[in-house]
Amino acid sequence: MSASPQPIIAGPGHRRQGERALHVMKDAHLRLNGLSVFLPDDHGDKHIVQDVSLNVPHGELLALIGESGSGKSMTCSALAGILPARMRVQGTALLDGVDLLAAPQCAPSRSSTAIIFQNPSQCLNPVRTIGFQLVETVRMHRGLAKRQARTAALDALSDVGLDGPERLMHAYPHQLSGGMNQRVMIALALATDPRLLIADEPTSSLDVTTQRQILDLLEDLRRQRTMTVLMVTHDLSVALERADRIGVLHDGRLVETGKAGQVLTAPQHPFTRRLVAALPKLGGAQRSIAPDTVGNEPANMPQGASLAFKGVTFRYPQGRLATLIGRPAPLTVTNIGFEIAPGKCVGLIGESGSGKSTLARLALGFETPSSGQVLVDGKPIDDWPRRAYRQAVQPIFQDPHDALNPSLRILDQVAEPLTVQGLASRVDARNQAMERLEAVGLPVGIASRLPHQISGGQAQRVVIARALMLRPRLLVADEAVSALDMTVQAQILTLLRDLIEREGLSCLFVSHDLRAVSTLCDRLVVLYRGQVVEQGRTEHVIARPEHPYTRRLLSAVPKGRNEQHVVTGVEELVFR
Amino acid sequence: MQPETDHQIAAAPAPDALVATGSPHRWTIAQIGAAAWLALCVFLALFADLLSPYDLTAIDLRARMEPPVLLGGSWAHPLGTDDLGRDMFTRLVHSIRISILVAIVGTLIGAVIGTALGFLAAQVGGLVDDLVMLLVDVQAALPFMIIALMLIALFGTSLTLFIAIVGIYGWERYARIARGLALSARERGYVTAARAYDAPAIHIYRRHILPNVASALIVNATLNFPEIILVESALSFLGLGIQPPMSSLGNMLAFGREYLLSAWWIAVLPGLVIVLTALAVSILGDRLRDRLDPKLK
Amino acid sequence: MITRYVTFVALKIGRALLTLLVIATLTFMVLQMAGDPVTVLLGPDATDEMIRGFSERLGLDRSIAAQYGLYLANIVRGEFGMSFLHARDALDLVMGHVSATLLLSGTALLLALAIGLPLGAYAAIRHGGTGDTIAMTFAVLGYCIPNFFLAILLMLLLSIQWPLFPTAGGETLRHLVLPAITLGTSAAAIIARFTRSALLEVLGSRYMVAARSRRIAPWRLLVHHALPNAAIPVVTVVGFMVGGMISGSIIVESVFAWPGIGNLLVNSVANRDIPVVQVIVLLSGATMVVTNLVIDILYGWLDPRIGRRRHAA
Repeated sequence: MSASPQPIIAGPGHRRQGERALHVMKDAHLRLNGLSVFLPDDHGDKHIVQDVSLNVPHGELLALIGESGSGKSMTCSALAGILPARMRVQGTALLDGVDLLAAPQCAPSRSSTAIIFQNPSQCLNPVRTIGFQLVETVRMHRGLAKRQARTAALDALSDVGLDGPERLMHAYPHQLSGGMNQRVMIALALATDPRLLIADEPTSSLDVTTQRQILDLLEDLRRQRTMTVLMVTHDLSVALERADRIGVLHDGRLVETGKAGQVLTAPQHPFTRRLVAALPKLGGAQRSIAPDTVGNEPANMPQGASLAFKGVTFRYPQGRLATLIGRPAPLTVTNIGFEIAPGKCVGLIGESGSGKSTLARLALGFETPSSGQVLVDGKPIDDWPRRAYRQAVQPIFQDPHDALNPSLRILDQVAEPLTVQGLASRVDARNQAMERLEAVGLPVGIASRLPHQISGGQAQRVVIARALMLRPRLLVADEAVSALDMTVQAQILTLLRDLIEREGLSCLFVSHDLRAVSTLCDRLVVLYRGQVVEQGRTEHVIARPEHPYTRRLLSAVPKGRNEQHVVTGVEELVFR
Repeated sequence: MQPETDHQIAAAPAPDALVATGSPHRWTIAQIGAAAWLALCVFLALFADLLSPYDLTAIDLRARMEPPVLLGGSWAHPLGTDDLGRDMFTRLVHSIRISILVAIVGTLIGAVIGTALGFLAAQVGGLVDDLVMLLVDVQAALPFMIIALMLIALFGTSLTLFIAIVGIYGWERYARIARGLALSARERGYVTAARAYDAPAIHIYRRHILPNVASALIVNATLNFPEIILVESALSFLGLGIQPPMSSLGNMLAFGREYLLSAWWIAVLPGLVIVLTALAVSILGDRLRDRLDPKLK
Repeated sequence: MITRYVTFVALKIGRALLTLLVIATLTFMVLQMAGDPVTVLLGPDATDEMIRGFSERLGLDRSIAAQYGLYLANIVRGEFGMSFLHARDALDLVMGHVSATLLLSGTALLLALAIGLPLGAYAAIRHGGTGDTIAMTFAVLGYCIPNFFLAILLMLLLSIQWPLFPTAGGETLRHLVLPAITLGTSAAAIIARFTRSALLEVLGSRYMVAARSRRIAPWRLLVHHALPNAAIPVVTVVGFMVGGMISGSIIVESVFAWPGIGNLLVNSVANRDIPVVQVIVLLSGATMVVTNLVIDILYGWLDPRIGRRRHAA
């Protein structure tokens, strides 16, 4: 890594440099000055991060927001000194006046920063015990003898709120959950006594409830140890809730920085404004028409099919050997019962492993219930002719790029349902596909492209267009927006809502994200460990959650500091 | 139409630039050399009869063991002659033809059998899957040379049988790859989507699975091909493969072994051809892998 | 839980036995297809008396199923019949050649490890540098130069041009040098390639980046973090070489007339001495299966994610 010792870019940074001498002694803080990260190339350097200057006062938390590819992770890597070998940096990053970028890997100033990552389970050595990795780090940084280092390691594990540290010392990373591993990662980071903690999407791979616990832990530790924290996230609401300051990265440039409340109430840059506008809100505030009461269907909405789960229990078929031993398979979902009225959208919510994807597969007819019945239009799925069922019920997927064949052109993929079923000639199917693509808001030029040439949001529109080709009456959307960037999520949710309303479709919308579900769905079904623990109208569930899990889920939704702007649903309804 | 401001759109290459995404794939000198050598081999193999100055079995006892031109030989025999005075160039050209023929047919047989069995195992599952995977395990546990030698010992050495035996080589790797990829492709959204609009299994395999796993199978073929050339020449070298009067690189090398002291080129020339060919296919295979392997993109 | 590990090992042993059974069955089927077992297994010079005793032993007058049962029983009892080329018990004959093959393969493997491991590791650490290029050129050449050609080149140089070592035979340790170098070179090339790619993958993994961010000393990163992970695929390929030593040494033994199993196999095939071939086929299958079993069990120790103990959570 080559780092230029002098800032290349003058400008605002220049003025701050004069101030530096005043601050160094009394006020330790992080100051980035014209930080750029780029890939040297014969044809001109490719900039990933360009001229980022910002200031984090001592002990504060700055959240760096950006969508995928905005350069936020590269900024972290540069500060932590772990850039890929081919990358180069320019500018300065002063921590208490010492340039992190100029310091060689092992210099003392380096050990004042620590970093934690998105996928904690991949960031721990799989063949070494937790204890080995902790003791090693403690010894490296504090020069302790083996026994003392062990004590320090045990303390570090207790500090991050892990029970039974003695036992954990002998555990391997694969034996721990993602949340526990993230705590271990934090313990490892703390073992180096950092003054600056860099957190690169620390909770993105975790469940909402675990996410909240980890964020709480980080906040506690920050206050106890008066660390400065630089947190990178794609989730504006997390940033609003937790950060003192927010920096917005867009295409490698810092387009906006400021106090958290300021960014929310008076966003300056158009991109920030879009981010703020895309903030999902609890409680169906975005719904354009008032939800009508059950049983009072408007006459123009007969098209949707009804869906009913009646006492559905499902266990995955067992491997032959396990059957031989006679061990029964664990139940995936137990005694599920709920209904979707024609033309209604029901949100199915639960954390990963709660069985919600299984219910989606059952509704699509890819799995058969072990007991109980799944009824569509009052008829069990088994009684439907298969082809008719496949026309009536269509899926929408989580990862749109995964849902498109990478080697087929968009138009052919969208036309395929018609040609495969012999419902239209090739030409006719293509014409219809073209219309559908336009109807979901895609430009004409997309049709001849291959999936990898379009963005995630566009791909999800293609998937929706394909699902609509057979004129289905029930959509089953499994985490249909969770893989998308925030601003795109809002657009896709709007599109889905428009389509559902215009065509009068029914929809089963499966998600772990309460905010996404509540913008779209009339009713909520809360799934916890394979069982329905609560269901009802969206507003009711949000206002008066009954089951402890629902309450935990609700409290885990980041609210932001500036309550009146973000928390429309909960607060209003609770105190009405 | 809504303005999608994803930077990815701007970065997305135009459709015609599809083939060369990523870093520019310039040809290195080694790759050009490899391509040239293979082109020469294919050319020689195709026109072997026109190009060879002598008859394959023309014996000329007056011109035994003449050295190649550069080592003091004459232009009558540019690469010298062997122990019976047969023209080395003629024999080499015919050997290349046989080796390439056996390797191509062998690769195709293995690829087709392996891929078909792999897809079958993935699609049918259950007992069929168990059976195919058991055979794969057994094949992996019994080294190919052992199987080949046993079959040759029992059934003798005929060209057809020999090609069939070489064709078995490596089938289990195609089967394993095809099965694994088909199983994971079946979990992909686009296959689920196709099942959701009731596309028949054959259609799904032909249009959605095969095109997306083909690159891995082709990559395996480029690894398999040079190995088959080596296996074929090894068996011929042991005298258990291609039999005289047909000439192959392996049996030329074996006969040349007797004359290392007096005429070393009889053994070294075919050996060099084997090395160069295997090397060329490996180099081009590496290039193909860099372009096709989805993991490297 | 200990039971988990025991189940894991038991399953592997069961699978290994099943594989052996299938190998034996396939051999039986191929023998059946090859024609009259009397001529196939006894050779052309058998006397009437021999044929009678032989038919009785294999149950040739009985049903196929009974013959199959007898065939398996004979394998378990270690009765494979007589080599008609050497007029000795086939099993004894093959066992007499085991030590030579072990000596040659063992020497070659040690040589290969001594060259391949450091070379591959060096290439990975100097990824993209000149050292990497040189190491990989060696590896590619080692892969593309067939054993039999390398053997001839070595003979040409080290026995004929400069007569340092004998060309053929197995009487002294000097006879061992050329075959061991030949066999070791190609194995070293393969080991170097695997070590390099395994280590490269580990070095690029997220846990290595994370450990680097904690500023663990570079040598510690390599020795305590990277190598234990990279060892897993390398052990696989070395295990494969050990398991395949009989077939791997066929050509080299044959070229250098080294008195091992491979050489015996080639001679037996050329002379259609089927009982001996059969013993070697089964022995080679058994070697591979047993080695795989050992490797699988070794994995349980190398990689905590497989089998073994489960503590927390």
